[in-house]
Amino acid sequence: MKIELTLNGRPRSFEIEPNEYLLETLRKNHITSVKNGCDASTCGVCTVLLDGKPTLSCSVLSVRAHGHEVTTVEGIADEVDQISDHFGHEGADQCGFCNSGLALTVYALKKEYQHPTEAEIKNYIVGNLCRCSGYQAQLKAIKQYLEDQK
Amino acid sequence: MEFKHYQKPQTLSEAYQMLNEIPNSIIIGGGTWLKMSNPKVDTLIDLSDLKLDQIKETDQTIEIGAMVTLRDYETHKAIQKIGNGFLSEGITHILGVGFRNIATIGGTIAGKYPFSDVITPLLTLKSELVFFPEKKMSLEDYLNSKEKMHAILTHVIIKKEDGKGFFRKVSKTPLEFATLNVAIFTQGKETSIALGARPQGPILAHEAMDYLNHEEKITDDVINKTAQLVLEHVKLGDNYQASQAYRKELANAYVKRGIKEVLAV
Repeated sequence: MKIELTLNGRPRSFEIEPNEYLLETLRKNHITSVKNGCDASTCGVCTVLLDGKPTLSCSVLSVRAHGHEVTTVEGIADEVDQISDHFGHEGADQCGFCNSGLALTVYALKKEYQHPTEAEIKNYIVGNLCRCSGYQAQLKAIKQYLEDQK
Repeated sequence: MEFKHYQKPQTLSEAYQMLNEIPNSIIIGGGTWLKMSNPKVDTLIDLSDLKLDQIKETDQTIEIGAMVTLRDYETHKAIQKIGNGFLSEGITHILGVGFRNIATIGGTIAGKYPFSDVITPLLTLKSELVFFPEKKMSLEDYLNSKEKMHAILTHVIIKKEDGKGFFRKVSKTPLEFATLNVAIFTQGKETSIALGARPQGPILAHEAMDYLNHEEKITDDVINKTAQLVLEHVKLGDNYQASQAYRKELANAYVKRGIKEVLAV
């Protein structure tokens, strides 16, 4: 079956199977910034923005994206550069596998909350696991990024 | 779960007809549990086009569409007001935002998932479920029903209560299923107590509630007796997460703590 959606601001169409998940559709169409981690709704590395909301692409059927707007890090490159700079400055990343999912989640956090508390930040990013950094440096980087956006 | 066909009906009548005429078909909510479930299904019926993703308020009730996501439910102002936000508290420790933007209220309830952090607090509010074709049923009756449901869950209706609520999901991290859920809600002289992830599904502690609600003065002895009645009448069991003995310790502690919190003892 065929779906049509807006991917990073551009109209795209994909041939999919009914039981195909968005992660698979994106990756087989060379959008490999969207990572395949746990494939079980837990790690967050497959996060994309679906109509602006962080969404686990491993857990949403591709057909559900039909007619909707999908954003990956390529679609908000300038913002992601700023977020990545803050991660780098705080030493908040090592292997980088979780970065794109986390950057999209942080971007959505900024859109949703004007002045998030530390508890709100932690709650928002809890589904984005990082096996390298230990989270403290990420938390510092995110707080600084949000502060710099004011 | 394997499936071959996907249908997106444009009306509830059409969805109902599909569900009852297409062999081996099921309704999906968010679809987050599809990968984790085994039954082979031929056809998925998706309710996304039926405008069931709205939360509507009346003077006395909040009507939640079955396709409302956990995140929209968690962050809705009217829902946050009920019972000091204990309904939202039930949601906020379910995995991450990326998951809660997919999973739906209807999918969680219709699935009767025993580990559900959504159902346990809703049980304490005497929530009502609306089905198509026209049918209403209390959440408790639905959870207790054994028969296969041929109707489609369309809405959950909760009253705008101004009481106090308590909810605890006992787990090491939000990424795990609860080892135990305890929800308590009090309004006026009536207090409801529900336990979930026992590991069996959510249940109201009727014997304990009857005792507590007939006591004029809430003392430590009354609270201890209430917790004792919970342990005597609510079945708690073993699974890979915790032993029955550990769950009993948790239930005893959190029921007492919850009653003290909502009744300000």
